[in-house]
Amino acid sequence: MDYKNIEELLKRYWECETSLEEESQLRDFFSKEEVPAHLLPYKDLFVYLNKQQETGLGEDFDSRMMSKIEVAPVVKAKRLTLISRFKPLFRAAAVITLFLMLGNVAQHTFLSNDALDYNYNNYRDTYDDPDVAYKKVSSALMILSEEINKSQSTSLADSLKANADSVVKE
Amino acid sequence: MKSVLLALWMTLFSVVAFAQDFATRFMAEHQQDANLSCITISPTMMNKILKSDAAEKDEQMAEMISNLKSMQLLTSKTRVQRYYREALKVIDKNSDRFEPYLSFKGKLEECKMMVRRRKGTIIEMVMLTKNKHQFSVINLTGIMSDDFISQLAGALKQKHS
Repeated sequence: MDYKNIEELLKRYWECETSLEEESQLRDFFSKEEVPAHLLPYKDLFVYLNKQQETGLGEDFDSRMMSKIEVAPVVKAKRLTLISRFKPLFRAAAVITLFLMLGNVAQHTFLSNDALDYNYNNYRDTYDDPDVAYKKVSSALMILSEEINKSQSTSLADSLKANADSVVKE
Repeated sequence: MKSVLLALWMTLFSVVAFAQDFATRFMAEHQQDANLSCITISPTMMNKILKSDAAEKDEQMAEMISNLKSMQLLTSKTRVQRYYREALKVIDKNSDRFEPYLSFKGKLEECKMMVRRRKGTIIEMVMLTKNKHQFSVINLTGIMSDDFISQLAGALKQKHS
């Protein structure tokens, strides 16, 4: 028997040049029982391919798939109350309050030994020369002194005036 | 890790936010204002002042300065009324911190002095003054007793005598 045609088809099959009909011819050939010895190694492959061609999805495939797809998911309606809507806001407020409280506690803890609770780290001296700074501080203190004295004399004058007015009225 | 850092940062921020004196609070609202001049004497400089030759020559003044920790002096020769009003607003906003100490209103001048006490001791003194030409704030922090105030009031009299 001449198997040259089959060998030619096989050669083209491996080079992916065969048509669907030619591939069908190959499958038919290898599904026969008598296959020459030198072509036997390819038999299993073409028998397998032949079987796969016969395998289908089955008539009930569509109905099975559709029944699975069409099962409606159960969606539970969530009731949103006013409180639940503002929950993130409450949480944020709680966190901020917590940090402020922590800050206050930290402030009292770190600075409890010192009556002065000021943060002097941000102070930038205007003068480098202590003598110049001394003049500024002393003149500021003298201004303060002056204003305290003015206030005292003003209140004294006011009380004297009030006394004089009450004497005149009497 | 990030949340821990954020927590620490916020805690530190709240400490810093609480611990501010009047002048710092006032200046925070006028950061870009070139009309206001601010002179700052830090605690470090106060210490240097006490060791300076000038302080050694005037013992009384040095004694008064030894009660102080810092000083800030704000002045402006423009917008006098506006700044005075705004300074009073800052005082009002922080009315739980400051208590009025003295005030007077003359024909040409107005003055208000506020103090902040802690455990009975004055730890901050703010004096607001305005006249026709100038608005000024003297802000002192330190440990100031009522004796310090009377010493301060007597200082001018002694200079004149």
